[in-house]
Amino acid sequence: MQPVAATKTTLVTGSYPPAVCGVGDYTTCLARHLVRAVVWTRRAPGLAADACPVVEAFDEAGVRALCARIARERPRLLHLQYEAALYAPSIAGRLPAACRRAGVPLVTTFHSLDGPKAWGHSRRLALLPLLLGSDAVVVCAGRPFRALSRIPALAGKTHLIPVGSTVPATPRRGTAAAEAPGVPLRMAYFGFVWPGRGLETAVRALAAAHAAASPTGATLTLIGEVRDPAHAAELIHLARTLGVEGRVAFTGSLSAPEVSHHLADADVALLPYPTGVSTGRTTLMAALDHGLPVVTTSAPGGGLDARFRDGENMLLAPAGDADAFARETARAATDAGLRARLSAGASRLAREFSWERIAEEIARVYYGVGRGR
Amino acid sequence: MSVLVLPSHRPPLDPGPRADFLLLAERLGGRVLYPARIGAAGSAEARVGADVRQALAAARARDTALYVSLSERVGLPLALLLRRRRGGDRAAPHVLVAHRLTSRAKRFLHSKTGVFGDFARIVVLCHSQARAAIEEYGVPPPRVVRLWDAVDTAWWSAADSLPRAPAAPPIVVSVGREGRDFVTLLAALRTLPEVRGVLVTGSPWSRAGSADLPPLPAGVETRSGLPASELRALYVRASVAVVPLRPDCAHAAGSNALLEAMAAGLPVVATRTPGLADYLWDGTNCRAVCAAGSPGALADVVRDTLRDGRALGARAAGLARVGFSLERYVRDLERVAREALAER
Repeated sequence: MQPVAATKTTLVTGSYPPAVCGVGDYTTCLARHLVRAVVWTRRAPGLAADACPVVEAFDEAGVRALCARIARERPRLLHLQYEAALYAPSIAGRLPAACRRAGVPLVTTFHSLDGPKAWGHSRRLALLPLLLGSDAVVVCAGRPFRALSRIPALAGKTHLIPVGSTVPATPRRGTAAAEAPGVPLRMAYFGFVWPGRGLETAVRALAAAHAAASPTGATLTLIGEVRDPAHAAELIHLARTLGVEGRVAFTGSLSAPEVSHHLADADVALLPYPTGVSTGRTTLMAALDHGLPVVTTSAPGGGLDARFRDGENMLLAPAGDADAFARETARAATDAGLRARLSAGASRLAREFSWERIAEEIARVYYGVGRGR
Repeated sequence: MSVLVLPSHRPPLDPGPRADFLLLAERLGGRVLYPARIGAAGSAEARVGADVRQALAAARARDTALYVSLSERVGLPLALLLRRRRGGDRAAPHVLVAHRLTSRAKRFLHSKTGVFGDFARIVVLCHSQARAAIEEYGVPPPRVVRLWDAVDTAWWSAADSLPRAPAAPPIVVSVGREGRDFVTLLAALRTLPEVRGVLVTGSPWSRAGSADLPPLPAGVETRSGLPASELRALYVRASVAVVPLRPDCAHAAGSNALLEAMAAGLPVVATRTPGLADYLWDGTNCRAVCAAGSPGALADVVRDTLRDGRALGARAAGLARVGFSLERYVRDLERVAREALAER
């Protein structure tokens, strides 16, 4: 599909490949699907050729330099990819003011609603100037969308646009190979390995699936960077206790093609999000894009996206209920027909979150902002 | 404007593991300022002189956006020198990787100068040092960052890719000197006449001798200044690595020796101290001995590990590869440095 034509846009990101960062990957995919989009970022060794380094770093001096550049070049539209850790806190106040002075419409995608660490408990307050000063606000998941929509000044200009997969899919392993006798069921988790990701739940689910899928059993590959070795050690210990030690493997940090290779090789994805599945999860989108049957969690307070259907395109267990998650995993492990249905459902669902659609929705936001001026 | 990375030593000339400071400088687009050469037999005074000269050169370097000191030896004098710049020409932020904040000399220095308050970030390698920075020195918690120590696991695990060839009689190896409890180790080795003990008591850049060690029992030898490649070969031939520590070690002494041996697939027996405790998961990556100063307990655990340590070594190697790689450490340190830069 052709890239989406939009107003000539300047995407601003504090991180861009080769840096390993979800915001950089998101910006890369978005820029590739928008016509006439340029990327402004900070200078870095080995920076991808399609990005334009405009500052040394997004520190105070870098933010001032960015504002000066906006005044000088007056881009048609500026789209900031915001994540607090990537910029000096002053960007929240300076950038909207600079855009206003230069007559440049500002769209901000909030990749999280956490403000700068330095602001401590009032860190979300630091975002207010950016939220109020942006002509349009984009969030990727239902929960922040509902939170911002309750604020009268933001309700009309906040848009919910999901993320897509940032791991280009490679063809999946053939069913014949997957179902060959003696081959264990291969399960995969994708994401950082650190506390708070529900990985204990995944290991418990492995033990349940391993017992249920006798005699070949099951394996679990944890795909992604180990951010906390202590947590990895705890998981190894838990696996030993549950009798599945040799069946858990860690890949460590991998490139996107390597991640894709592992996902393509898996039979089931385990994504036990402690706060529930949402349209803002790039790891979910990667699993769906690879046509993987997904076992995941529904958020405690409800608000599940209507496109996520239990038993049709994923299996859902209540977040925080490890036993229910293990039961659903065992069900997927023992029922090849269910896995085939979920796989087909996942592939259909993935098309809803293609980058072409995302770029189209973003372009509509740009158009609305331009028309409002 | 550039980033200045200040290591505490130069990279060894022999082939060996990659240096964290070179990787960090590359990622930050910065440059490395080395300490002066003082030779292998340099005195303590010569070493201090080299550290101060390195700090002076760093303080004189103009157009520096960020200083990253990889040890207190250069970081503390540099912080004091940078105070002279305060006022008109504001000093750039300074990140310190601190290994041992709790020495008597540093406590004294801080009580007189409050120097630990000068850093934009203090990186520590264990919880007990983080507590010391916050509670004892009053550094604001957001400025104290605990990172996991690391080694070049790819290089050290090359030993693991060779078929392990434990020597006969089995070798028990102990690497490192700082905070080590040699009295207990040697007493334990006396009760293990069936093993050969090898104590590697100095690195190529810190050739501490073995003159003040207790008398060595039969079957125990010391080595000093061993090049990394020879140390790696020793790990291949050894059966168990021991990290014997004094019980009062509040910093992560022994973490490098532990991680090197883990990466090489060698089962490790280590003393649980407040500093190293963060890195010990008994039965997962090591056998942790709680009773520091107890030769009998240490000897029993070494004997058990000699008998069935193979699975432990393999498990530890896997954990080292994914959790304690140099790449992960450098990425984390880069993130800290960029945070400090962003607050400039």
